[in-house]
Amino acid sequence: MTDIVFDTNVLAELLVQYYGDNVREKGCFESKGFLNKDLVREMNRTVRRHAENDGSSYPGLLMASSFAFVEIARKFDEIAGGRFTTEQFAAFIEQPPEWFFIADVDASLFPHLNRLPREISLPNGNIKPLEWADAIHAATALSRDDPWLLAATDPSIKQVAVLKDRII
Amino acid sequence: MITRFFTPSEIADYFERGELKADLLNDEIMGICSVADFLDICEAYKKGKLRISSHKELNERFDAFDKLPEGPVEKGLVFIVNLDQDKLSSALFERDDGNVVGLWDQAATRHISPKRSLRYLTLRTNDDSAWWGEDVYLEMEAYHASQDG
Repeated sequence: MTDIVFDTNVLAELLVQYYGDNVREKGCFESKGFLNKDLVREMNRTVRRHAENDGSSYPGLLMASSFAFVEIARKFDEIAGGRFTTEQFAAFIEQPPEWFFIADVDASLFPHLNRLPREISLPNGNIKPLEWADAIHAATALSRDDPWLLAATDPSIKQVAVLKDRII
Repeated sequence: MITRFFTPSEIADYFERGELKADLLNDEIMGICSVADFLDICEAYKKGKLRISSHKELNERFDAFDKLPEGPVEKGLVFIVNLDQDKLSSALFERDDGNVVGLWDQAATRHISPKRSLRYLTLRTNDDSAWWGEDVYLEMEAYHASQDG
């Protein structure tokens, strides 16, 4: 099954829904904010597969780099906006749900960062630098052994050749 | 074991020339660096700041640094501090008697770069997993302050 790697904005929306919309009770996410319909369908499939998993197959994971949590912490009041607390944020990191995985920022990302360009050429001919944070999220996805999708909010990242067709 | 900050310029030196400073070669001192500074080598290369001619060569230097038995990481001369789940959970928060009382505002602020936040969190020595000396953090701060200034 497929792993889905979240960027910071998508992770923040997951946390908002997880704590604000009782995802734990309802068992499903809804399409709003940075969670589009296709992504929500795949997320809910992954959550459901974990609930029903008998251990015979890999159910896939929702995941984010530990760096995505750092980015949320850097703008915590703006992002959380009272919709989840520091204590809930800490609790999620300490013990995430079984369907969620926090990936290390470690040296193994190096060759994958090396595969990414410094700049993105846009269809209109403009050049845009690839942000370091987006590069970390993309390298985290590229480092997965299992099939993966990248839930990224910057549309220009679709122009990166090694990420093409993997953006959800 | 004595530890000291292994600086970004030393990482670059090893990538370019395979050289380490003499104090790390006597088995009594270990260099400690943040994964933020290690990964930053990729940026330095892409900006043309390293004397390395190709992606292939950069990956070979990475293997020589991090993977090969004769490299400084495998030989235990240099330790790269990662940001894993446990380190994140410990370093990102201020706690009182085990209870979270807030974010660690030295790193959890947009007044510094994301890279610097990562650097601070990895090298923070607020729990037993951070076995290196507090001096490493102070040396890191001093090094980057001198570079920025």
